[in-house]
Amino acid sequence: MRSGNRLSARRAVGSISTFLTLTSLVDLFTNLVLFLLYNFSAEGSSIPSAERLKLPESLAQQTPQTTVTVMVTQSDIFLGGKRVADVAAVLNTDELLIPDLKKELDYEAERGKYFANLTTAKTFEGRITILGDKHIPFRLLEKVMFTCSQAEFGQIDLGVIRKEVT
Amino acid sequence: MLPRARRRKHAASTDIDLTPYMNLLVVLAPFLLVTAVFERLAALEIYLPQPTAAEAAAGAKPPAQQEDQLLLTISIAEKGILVANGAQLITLAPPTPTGYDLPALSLALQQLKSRYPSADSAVILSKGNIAYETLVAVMDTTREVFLTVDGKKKRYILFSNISLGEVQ
Repeated sequence: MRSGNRLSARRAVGSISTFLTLTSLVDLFTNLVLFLLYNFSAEGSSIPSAERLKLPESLAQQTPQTTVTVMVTQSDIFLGGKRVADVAAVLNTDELLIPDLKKELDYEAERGKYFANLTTAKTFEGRITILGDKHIPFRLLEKVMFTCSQAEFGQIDLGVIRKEVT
Repeated sequence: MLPRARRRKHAASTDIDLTPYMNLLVVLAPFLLVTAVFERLAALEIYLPQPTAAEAAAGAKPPAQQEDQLLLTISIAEKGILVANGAQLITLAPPTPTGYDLPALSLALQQLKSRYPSADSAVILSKGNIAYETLVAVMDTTREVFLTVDGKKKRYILFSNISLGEVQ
């Protein structure tokens, strides 16, 4: 009661000459901005957030490289954003090779080699990243991997979401 | 004469003007919040079982197994996860009601690793209908284990060189 009285009295006196104290708010914002800047990565946004593509979680630590990317959702197969094959049709055949994907990958390989020839800094490694939905069957993944290896993409990385150890 | 007097009077009572800084922060914070990526992409490297030219010439003969060498094969099937050394079955981890028994697999692999410390390659064979998610979980279990030593989590590499294959 007494202290409340004193507080209100002080506020009344102070309000004549002071502004709103922004110091703590500025501290908060500064910390937030520094934290976000620290986490900011220019390449981090390369995760496709498609509805039908939920990557599996893994403890893997390795950072992915920017490579040719094959996306395998539950309905379609994409190569670098372009739809190349239908999953249902692929699963219906016993053939391991996916001809449509092979054709596009061959073109990618040719292009990669051409660019590698232009510069000495880079060589064509045949590195490819497969981003697969976590519910796709292994048979489908195997077909995609087989097709990649047939098209001179022998270094296959599987894209996963990094999970922290609990 | 007059401006100077005014300035001095001002300086006695004001703080630094934070308004421009606040403007900057108010703009930057939402921008960074929107572009922030909280899910980080990682890569799992796999090794395709590629027959070399010499192997192909020798025919499909299985490699001669030496006495103290590990040919680790992990098969994922309906009846559980089979761990085998070449043709010799080591462990069968039957599935639990919640899915595959990965802790049991991890335990079996830790025992194998302590018996064959220099071995680092494994072949994971899966049935065609096994979900990719399951496969990745088994790969994680095969690759590394986290053990609590002196109250601290430590990471141990088990078999990091993983090849994939299909079992009929």
